[in-house]
Amino acid sequence: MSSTRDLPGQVVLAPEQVPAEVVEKAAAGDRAAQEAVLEGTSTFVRRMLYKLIGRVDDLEDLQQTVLMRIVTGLPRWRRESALSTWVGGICVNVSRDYLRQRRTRSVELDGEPAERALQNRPASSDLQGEAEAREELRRCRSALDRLSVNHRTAFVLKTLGHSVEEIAQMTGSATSTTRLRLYYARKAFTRALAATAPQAEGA
Amino acid sequence: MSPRTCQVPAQALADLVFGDGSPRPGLDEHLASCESCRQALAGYRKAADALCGAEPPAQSEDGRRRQIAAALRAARSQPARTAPRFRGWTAFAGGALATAAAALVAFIALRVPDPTSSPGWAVLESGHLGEGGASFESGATLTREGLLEVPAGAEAKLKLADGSEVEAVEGSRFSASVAVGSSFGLESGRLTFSVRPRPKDSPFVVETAEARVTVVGTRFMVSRALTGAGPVTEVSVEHGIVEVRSAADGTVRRLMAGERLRVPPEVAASPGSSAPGQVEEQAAPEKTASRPVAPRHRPPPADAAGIEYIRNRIQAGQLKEARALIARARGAGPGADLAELAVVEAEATLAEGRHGAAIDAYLAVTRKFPGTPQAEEALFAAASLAVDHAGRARGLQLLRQYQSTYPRGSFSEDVRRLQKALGGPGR
Repeated sequence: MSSTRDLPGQVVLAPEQVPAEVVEKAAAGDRAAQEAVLEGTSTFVRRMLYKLIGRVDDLEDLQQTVLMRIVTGLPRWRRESALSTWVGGICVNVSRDYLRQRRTRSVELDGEPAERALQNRPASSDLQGEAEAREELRRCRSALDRLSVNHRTAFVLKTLGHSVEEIAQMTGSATSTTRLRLYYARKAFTRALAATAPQAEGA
Repeated sequence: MSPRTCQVPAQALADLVFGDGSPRPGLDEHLASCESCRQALAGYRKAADALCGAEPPAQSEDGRRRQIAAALRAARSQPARTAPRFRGWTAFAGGALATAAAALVAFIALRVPDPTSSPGWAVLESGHLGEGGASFESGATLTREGLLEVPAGAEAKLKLADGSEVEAVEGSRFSASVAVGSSFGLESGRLTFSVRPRPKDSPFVVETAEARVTVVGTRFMVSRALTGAGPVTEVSVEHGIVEVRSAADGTVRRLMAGERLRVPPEVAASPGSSAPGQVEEQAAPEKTASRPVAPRHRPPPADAAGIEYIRNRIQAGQLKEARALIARARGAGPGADLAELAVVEAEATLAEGRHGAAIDAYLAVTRKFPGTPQAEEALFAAASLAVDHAGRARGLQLLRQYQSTYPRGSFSEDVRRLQKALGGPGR
């Protein structure tokens, strides 16, 4: 069984690598198998949620919500997609609800989470580079905040490397809708990014 | 303000990074000689790196294990929905007996309410409900007051502590609070209530974004759905009387048995807009004194910012308002970007779920504004929609049309992929 080194100090097991028989047992209620499925998916869930919501606050709660939904939803999962796509779909639903709730509360802070996010990168002696990266992340998140929740979700999933078909499955949308969402999200994101561009850029 | 002076659109460079990475024909050669574009491209790559490189704080092994254990505990505490696995009629009969016994126990428990032994605010009599990560099955006692959702293909019937009943259809999303009286918040879907007579100081209230419904004791239904004109709340009464207050302007209407009231969305609270939403009665028009509403919108949006505002309205489901704004913008004179407005109009049609009309609207853009970037975008949008909603032949025809019109277009790669998927010439 292969694994990929992903987060600093952690070995990530991709959800696809949870053996099918373990998933079957978990769906049937086997406690050890359920634990194995959550072991195999928890880091994936954490990373995906973080990318989708773009902040650390509430991450633990959302992660736990998704893990719980995995366990309760497994008996109903029809195995029509990869485990990662199904789990990703749960992450998408949970994060969309969260983002919509946050949007209605009109609260969004980016500087502090961006700081924390970059602390999780490998240590670097390039202080100026770190500062630039932090500023870039702040700009990107600010641009993402200007997108609708659907556009934002599709766009982020695409940057995570998911195909249009996978994004369509995860978001429960038609592929044509997803393609158009991606197209308009790219346009909106580019516009928003340009609006926050530093004046000195390109000078 | 972008310092770029090059004619190559910034979007083409951004698409190179955030799209599928397939370069526009000739772009590589151009980049080799254009410093301005190389810098812009580097900027987009930096942004992509920042997005992809941001990682959540690493979770300690202990923390992760604790979280998994907690999730398992929480999942176990909820009655999980397991797929039925019948092994012949004996198993079925056994299951049926067990179900009947459980139903009998639940029935007895409900007939003899004992507040001290049942801390919940409601019992799920039948159907399924989800709350956050939890799911509830028939017989479950609801103790928390979170956002509840009826899963696809399911329904739910709740019995409240005072004997009132609530039925929710598939996809309904609602919350409840029973601290003082009973209060329900409906986000979407439809709830039907049978409310037991209750004291005046313990109101039974159902709220949506558009209306507040106060009940004394009756059977009524509240639904909230997205329509072409935005989210609309509808209240209908079978027995008794309910009072409906518009969230927009506080207008109150009393609804009698057999009457129905539709409450359209509040006009967007944009600067300069003070017109309230309209309360219009449908079932008993003779009693209605609907005030005509002439919403005051923002100044005619003919520029890019205005178009952006219209798009935001579309995304917010305010399609009627968006269409009104498009019409006003179109008449704004030479400053209006008519091609972009036509694309936005097609988007509004798509948002209404009228796929065929949306295809026509996109195609109209290609006819009316040939040679513009919007025409290319619209043709791809039409082809893309046709693939999913107008059949293979129509989809392939429009994809071919795109290819012949824009042999080296921005969407060539997407078009080839779609053709391949349809078994067409892109193979």
